[in-house]
Amino acid sequence: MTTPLLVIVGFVAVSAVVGVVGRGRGAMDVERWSVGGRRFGVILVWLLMAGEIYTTFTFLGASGWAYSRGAPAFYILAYGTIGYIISFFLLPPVWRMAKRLGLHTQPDFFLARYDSQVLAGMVVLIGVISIVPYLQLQLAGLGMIVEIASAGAISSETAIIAAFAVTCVFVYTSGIKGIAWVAIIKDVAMLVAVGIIGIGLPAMYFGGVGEMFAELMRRHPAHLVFPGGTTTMGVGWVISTILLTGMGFYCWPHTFASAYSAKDARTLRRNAIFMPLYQLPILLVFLVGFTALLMMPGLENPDTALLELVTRSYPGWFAGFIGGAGAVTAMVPSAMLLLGAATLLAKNLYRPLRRRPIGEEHLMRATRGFMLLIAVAALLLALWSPNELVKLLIFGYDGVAQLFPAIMLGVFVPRATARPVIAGLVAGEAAVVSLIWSGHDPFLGLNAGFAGMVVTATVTLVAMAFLHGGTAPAAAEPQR
Amino acid sequence: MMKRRAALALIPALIPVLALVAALPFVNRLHPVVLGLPFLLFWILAWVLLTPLFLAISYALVDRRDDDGNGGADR
Repeated sequence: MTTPLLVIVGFVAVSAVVGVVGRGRGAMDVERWSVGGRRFGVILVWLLMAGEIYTTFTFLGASGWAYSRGAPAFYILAYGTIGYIISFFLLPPVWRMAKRLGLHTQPDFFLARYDSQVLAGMVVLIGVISIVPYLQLQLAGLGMIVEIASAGAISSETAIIAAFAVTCVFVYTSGIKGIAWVAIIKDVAMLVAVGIIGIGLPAMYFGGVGEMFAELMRRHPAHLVFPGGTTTMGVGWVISTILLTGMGFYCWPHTFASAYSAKDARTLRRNAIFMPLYQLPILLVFLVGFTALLMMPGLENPDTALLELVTRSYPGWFAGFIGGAGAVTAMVPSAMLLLGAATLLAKNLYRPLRRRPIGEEHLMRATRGFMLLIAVAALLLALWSPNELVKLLIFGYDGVAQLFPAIMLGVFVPRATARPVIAGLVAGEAAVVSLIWSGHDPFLGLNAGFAGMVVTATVTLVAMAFLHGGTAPAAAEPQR
Repeated sequence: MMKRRAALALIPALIPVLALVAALPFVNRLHPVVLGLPFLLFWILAWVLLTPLFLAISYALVDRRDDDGNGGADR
């Protein structure tokens, strides 16, 4: 076993132990497993939300895009900020509704607010289908890390399977609280790793960040303004992508439901204020990508740029540390995604479809069963259908962001009802899928998901104007 | 009254949104280089860092009675 690999394995093992120990004592039920008993304060909520945001995508995808695309990658720095600003206003009323009605999942919210099993079922499917490419992204990144760290001794397939097994064990036994503790390890490791290489690599090769940029501007001046190294990602694409992904930020089932775990609504607002600062490490990751472009141009897979540059520039144990940090940043979000998706399928699709009522224990078993099912599905996809990391993330966002109009209407417009929302979702998702499949992404210079959201919002609003059927359920009444 | 305060709180929050979205066509340039960063990157970074400031102003303006308590079941 090579030194880097040994370090990575140790890193992952320690994290898994912390995850299992961190669950705390006592019996596990769905409430505790999925929302931690709704008792988390500022720090744990912050960790959870950050845990979902810093993924292996941040490490590898962002540096890969800085390397290959240049300026369009800057959208990654901006969209989270837009997402937090929206969350400042959106999440407190969502939290209040969740608390009052005892909601656990995102479809619970739709069911309570719109009183429609059909809509809740659609939301489950949209969420789970969008999560699969996101999970696949984490797995592909994980495989890449271990493969490069072991200098090819371990194939990425073997790496993906092994690390994913560990992830499954720890989410299976510990639930959300165990994950929150591992998120601490992951965030500290990630911040240290990115801090060292983001400042260190430009300094090592060029004497500083400013000098590195001066060299980049001399050699590739077009790389640092839109559309960068691309022909299709001009300023229109960047704006529409920032808007789409910013609005989609809290539409993911797991990010939406992470708001439920806060102990009060004020916690959520304070989080929103400080979270933008947490975007800073992304800048450092860009710096690594740019340095890699200058030092080793022409890599076959841009997503490997960061790892290749690190293994070339540092001793083995440090490369191992970077790899370990990268592996944990893949595992924590994978665990969150799995937990989220499995809870949805069990609680919001499986349970309503059963004719007889089922008990808590049965539900818990079903949740764990679905978790393994989704894990295996994403595993198979990661092994057989590779794709560029940023692409995978944007695909997921394209689908899940279509929920945004329905969430906003649900929270702020009491007279919105289920049927217009369903019509909008069907039209919008159909538009997104057909644009992507027919190769029209970007569409007229805009992100295809954004074009889809224009369809979703328009159809929903027009349908609201023409369909007067039904009255809003009681949950829609403004809460004062 | 509550409605007015909520609307007021939106205004500071909109400023970074405009800067990070609507302003992009006008800042899509390399020069001037600020703190060693090309201008476009500097602009985006600066507004990400300024956002907490604007959200803190919104926080002061928002009606915090809404955020207290136990989810509004008794209201």
